[in-house]
Amino acid sequence: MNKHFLTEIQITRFKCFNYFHFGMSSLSRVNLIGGKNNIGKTALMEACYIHVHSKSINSMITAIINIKYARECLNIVGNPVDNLVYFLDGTQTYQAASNLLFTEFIRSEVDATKKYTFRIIHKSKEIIDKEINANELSIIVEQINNIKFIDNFGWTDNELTSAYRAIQKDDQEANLNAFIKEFDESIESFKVIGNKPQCKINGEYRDLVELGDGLRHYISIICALFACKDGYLFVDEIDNGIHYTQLDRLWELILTLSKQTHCQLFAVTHSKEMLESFARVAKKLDERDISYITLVKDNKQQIKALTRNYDMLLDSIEQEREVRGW
Amino acid sequence: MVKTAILVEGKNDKEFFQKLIGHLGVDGNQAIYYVLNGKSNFFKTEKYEDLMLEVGSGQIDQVLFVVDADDVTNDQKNGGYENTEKELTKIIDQLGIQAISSTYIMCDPTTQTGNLESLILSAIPEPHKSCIEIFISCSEFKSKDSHKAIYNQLYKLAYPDKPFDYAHPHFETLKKKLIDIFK
Repeated sequence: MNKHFLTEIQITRFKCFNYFHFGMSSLSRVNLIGGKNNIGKTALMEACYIHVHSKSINSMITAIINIKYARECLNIVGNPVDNLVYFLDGTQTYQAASNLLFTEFIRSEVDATKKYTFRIIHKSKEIIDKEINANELSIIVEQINNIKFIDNFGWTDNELTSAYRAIQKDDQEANLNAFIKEFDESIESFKVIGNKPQCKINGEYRDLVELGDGLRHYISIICALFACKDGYLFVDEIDNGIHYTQLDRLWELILTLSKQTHCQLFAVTHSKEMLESFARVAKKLDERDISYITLVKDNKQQIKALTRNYDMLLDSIEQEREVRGW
Repeated sequence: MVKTAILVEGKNDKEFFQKLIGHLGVDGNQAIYYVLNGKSNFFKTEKYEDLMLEVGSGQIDQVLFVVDADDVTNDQKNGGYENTEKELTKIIDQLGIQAISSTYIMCDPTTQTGNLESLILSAIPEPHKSCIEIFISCSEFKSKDSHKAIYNQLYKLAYPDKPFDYAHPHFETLKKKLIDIFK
């Protein structure tokens, strides 16, 4: 297990995890998350994303803004918001502790004065603890390049272009093209021309936007795995747009590349086919560094995480037991 | 909806319960099957990791342990009805799930020995049962597992349209137990 990997996390304040102690443990390099609708799967990944992205106050603010922006982007189309504080204010409180660090954000208002409190305690005991009045807050965007989140709408051209730089830097263009050809043999090559991701088909480059969403998603995941070297990748609705015949190959790439790049992956799916493919490919590759996490509500309506390791997941799948919650 | 974990030794047992539960008109989705692959695994706490995950988070309300009685002459420790019952009580105590657990020991109710196949055979007319037992005896198959598979196959061949006679009194205890669990 790589030292930078999250192995356990407790989330005490954030969205649906606000009123009780939520813990998730026995995490692996590749973690697939399931559970019923509206139980908090995406919120869980968002909380983990903010947590690992909180290297400094600026990177913590950036993560909180990124998450809120991803959720709100469709709502603000045609009514742009140029004030980043709007996105920061979308989160009232956040608190999480893990094997790596402790992170806390509180937005409060006392005597009509808005304040932000940031607290980050690293395992090395380095402590960042700061309270800032709203009128003194200056937001400096600090993206951490090896921590990425692919939301359920997929990546924009800019996000994909940014991740593709890692492919170029590692001279992986030929490999990426081979992977894409496996996905769709009519695609001769992939390139970013200007700022536009493009695919060459029948000798002509065509914008990626003209092609299917599944292809964009597939390319995004591969590029992200290279971009997130020694980092973390979060993918919501990982099977979005991917045909069932491609699922095994996608997991082969994820399991192989994440090992190669030391990238810890968290992904959400509702799909039984995706889950079965995950277990099947892990077995084929004898890749034991995997977990399947089911979010459920207990008798007190509190959210619990049930983490199945490789053996437990394979046994459940082989015995056709439902593990996605009921 | 009440969810019940039904723990069985093998796939044949699971198949039997699926059919019986269907016959009783219970929603099959209420039953979650755990095939433990053999009687000895029932008495090892590490085999319950997955079940305890679900029980601990309130996802499973009842647990039914279904084990073959077998014969004490073949296994002094775990064989026979009484030993099986004693060992099951011990493991349920160790797991700390007494409040939600119940047990059913598979056997021929008249002799209190045997397994699922013994229960099924005990519910068919005596001449038919004799024929099957004579065949097994003549065939000289030695292992218990072979016997189970042969019994099962012979039964399926002999009674293709009426897999099990659930109306037979020998199924009453089990039917009542299942109805009580799923009500």
